[in-house]
Amino acid sequence: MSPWTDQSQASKVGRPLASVLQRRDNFVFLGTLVCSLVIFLIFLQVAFATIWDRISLAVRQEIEKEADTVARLLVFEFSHLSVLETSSGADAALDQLVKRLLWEKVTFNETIRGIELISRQTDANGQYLSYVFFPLSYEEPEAQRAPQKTWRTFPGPEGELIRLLIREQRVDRTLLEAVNQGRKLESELLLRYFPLYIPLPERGAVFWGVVKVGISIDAMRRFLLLLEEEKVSLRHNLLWAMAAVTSFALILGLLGFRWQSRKAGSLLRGYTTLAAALESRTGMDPVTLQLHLQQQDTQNILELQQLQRFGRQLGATLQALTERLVSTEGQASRGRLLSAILPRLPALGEGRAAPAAWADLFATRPETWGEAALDSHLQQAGQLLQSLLPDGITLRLALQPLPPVSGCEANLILALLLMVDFAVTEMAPPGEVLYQAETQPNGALTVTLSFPGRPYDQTDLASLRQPFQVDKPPPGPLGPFLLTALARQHSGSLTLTPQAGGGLTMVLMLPGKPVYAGQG
Amino acid sequence: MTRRLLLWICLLVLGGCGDVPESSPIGTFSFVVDAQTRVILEQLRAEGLTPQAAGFSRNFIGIYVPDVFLPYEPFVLGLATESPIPTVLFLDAPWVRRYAASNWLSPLASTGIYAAAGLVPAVVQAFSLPQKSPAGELVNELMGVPNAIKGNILFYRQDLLAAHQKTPPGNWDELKAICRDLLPRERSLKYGLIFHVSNFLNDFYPIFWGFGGRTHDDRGNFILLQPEMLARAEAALSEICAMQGTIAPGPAALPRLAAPQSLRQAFLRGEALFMINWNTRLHDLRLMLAAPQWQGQAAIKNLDQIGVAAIPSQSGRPRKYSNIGSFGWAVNRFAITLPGVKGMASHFLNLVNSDQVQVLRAETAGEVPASETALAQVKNPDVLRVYENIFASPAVILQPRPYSRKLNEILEKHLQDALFGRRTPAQAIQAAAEELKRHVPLD
Repeated sequence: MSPWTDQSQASKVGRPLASVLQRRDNFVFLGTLVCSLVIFLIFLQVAFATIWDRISLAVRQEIEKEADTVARLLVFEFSHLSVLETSSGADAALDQLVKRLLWEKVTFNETIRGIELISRQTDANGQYLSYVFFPLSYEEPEAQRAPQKTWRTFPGPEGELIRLLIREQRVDRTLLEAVNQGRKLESELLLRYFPLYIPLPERGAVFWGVVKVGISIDAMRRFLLLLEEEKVSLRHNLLWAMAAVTSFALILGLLGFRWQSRKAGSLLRGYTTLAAALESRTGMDPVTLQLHLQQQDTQNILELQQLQRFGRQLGATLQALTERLVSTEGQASRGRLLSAILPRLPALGEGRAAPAAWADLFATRPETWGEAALDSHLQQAGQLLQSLLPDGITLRLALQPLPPVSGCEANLILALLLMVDFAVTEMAPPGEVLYQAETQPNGALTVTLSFPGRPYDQTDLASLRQPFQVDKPPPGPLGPFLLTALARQHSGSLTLTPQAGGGLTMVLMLPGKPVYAGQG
Repeated sequence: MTRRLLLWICLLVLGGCGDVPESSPIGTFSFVVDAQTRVILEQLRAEGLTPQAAGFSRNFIGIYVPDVFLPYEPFVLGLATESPIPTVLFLDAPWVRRYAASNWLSPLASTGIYAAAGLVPAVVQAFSLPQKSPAGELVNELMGVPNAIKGNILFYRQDLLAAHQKTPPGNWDELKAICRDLLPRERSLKYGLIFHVSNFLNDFYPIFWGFGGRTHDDRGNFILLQPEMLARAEAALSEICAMQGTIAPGPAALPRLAAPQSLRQAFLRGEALFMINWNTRLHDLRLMLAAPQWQGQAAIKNLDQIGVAAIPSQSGRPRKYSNIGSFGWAVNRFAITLPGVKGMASHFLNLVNSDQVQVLRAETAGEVPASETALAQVKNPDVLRVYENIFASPAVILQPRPYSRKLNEILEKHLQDALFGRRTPAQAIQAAAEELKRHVPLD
């Protein structure tokens, strides 16, 4: 698609920089918030799992240490029962003593849930002599709610552990773990097994059997439950706190970024104003453009300084191109007029001085600024116009004497020639051409050239004023455009007005007072 | 620059700022202070080997054991109930075996607490026991470290054997032959061989082992009641009893030798050609010779007249045995709860068992060092003589008596019956076996 016809591209309306940056930052805010919370949640999960494991382990170790201590103290105490080793097998008094000790120690505390003294001696059936008091339930028969002296067998891991203990007087940790992890008749207890030695002065420490102690683990269970509740609560609190802190930090950041983006946008707003001025009907001359570009605030930002430098270089280039265009188009205009007038010179032979009269218009002049008298040039331009009128068109001259004009004489003559050139090119019979020069009440000078021809609408006029449009084909006549530029150079203006029956009226207005645009 | 600074900040935050905090001190590091330990610690203090600046008293807590408690073996109760206290115990060699068999002691070499490499091989053998490795295999592990070697040996009259061109006996037949030859010719000699009357069991064990006897197998199973072992015990006891009246003191003379120090006094008076006693008695004999009450009284004028050799074995059996009576440092397995404890235990053991201590004890108390590096520094000729003649020999095996008090009590009782003529050796051994059967398994 040709760039001159790509309407869709031209129709797109951009958004302000601050708005774009703000919108993007909103996405970043949301993304950061979500990602932070997800990462924090994962971290929380891992951290709590680790903490939970460590605390559970620590609690378990402490409970086990406490169980060891309690069991050890009991073993020490039972080790003073030297009669267990020295007395004969059946001793009712000893049995009562042991039973009473078991009952007292299990009944009057909250940690020891049961004690069993298992002798190393076995009967013919391999049963161990045992003093046991594990009050499992208050619903049991009364007879079983008291300490018992029985002959017992121990199946499973417990039996294996007890046999090993009796054989080697050592506690196997693996078996102990197995006993404590499996289901127990004694309900939820931590069981401890230790060899019971009876120290005798003449025999040393004599191995008697095994002490089995049941320790309550209610404290551990309560603590772990409390820990679990606290963990859930703490996790929620931490998550909310994290969300609040992150949101607060991000909102602050967002506000800061908003301020920054607005500030950055404001720096570019000067260029927006410039663009608007350039797009306006009056436009802006290159010198003014340069001046505006120089006044843009860069706040010592490198990129803005580069943009400013680029604009100024572009402005200078445009100015040079304009001057070149004016010069070139002026030459072209002269050429066109000469090529049109020369074939008619023999027909105009009655006055040989006549060609010399308007030939002055085509003379080369230096582009100097000062007082310029336009009367003679207007007369010559009228004569030139007269010479170039096609059949069916009449010329009405109304040239009043004009005061001198401040400006560049060469450019003003070029302006007169461009008016004539454009009128000759565009006019079409029948009709009348009016070529008028007069002084306005406000002191301004006006040169009016109206000619008959095709009808002109506003689009045509806009195209004539600004022929270089990116979305349109290259322009036709550049006369009005250059005339406008020359008029603006002299602080004047060019007015184009369509005529009712077709044709156009061009009015070149120049100020009466000398106003210099700063030609260098 | 900014990036580098941020990197440093990140590293500091991630790696932590400031010095690494000091590791928490070990809660309790305790050792048993009994009579034996006290002697060593006093020696250490006297020699400035435990400077206070090193914080010995602060780091190591001594648990004093009243002497009246020792017969009760109070630490058995603690270890049996997995008490972490004390960390280090000073144990008689048989008790090292007992505690190690109950899995109460920590291996020393494999845990890095004490290196077995520097110890005399016979000591390593005596204090090593089969333990289950992490792979489940039984491997010999060093379980105790003694300061010195104490074992029973054979003292003899070097001057008399040399005068009659005799060499020290290697077996009981040779000993009897020497005695039969010399006793009639040396009128001053009353006995060919004297031994302990009370606690005869300590002297009997190396004799029994020299006859190929064993009370327990390598796995610790009690095998004395096997007929073969009972026969060897009977043969060993018969050997001694057969000498009574002619070579050894008869039942009537035994009470005279039952009193403390009576054995060494008899030997110093020149009444015996051979004597079974602890190797440390050589130093005691030197002290006695220097004592005023022995001036002009002793038949032996100087220690050159005394020779030392291993206790004879049965003819045809080259291995000779000594009943080790050394105490060894052992570490409570239940005390190893923190990584630092091993380091502390290692520090303690290397301190109380250092070469300086062993050399000092060798020079001043005539003890035979247990480490080879200490032995290399010893100048005491008595110590070197005992070591080189006996304990350095690969044929001599140091081993502790069985740790079962019940076994020792029963055996001692029945051995005494045989020595005092109340029963024949066969009857005594048979009676002991019958009684032991009633008490199996033994403590």
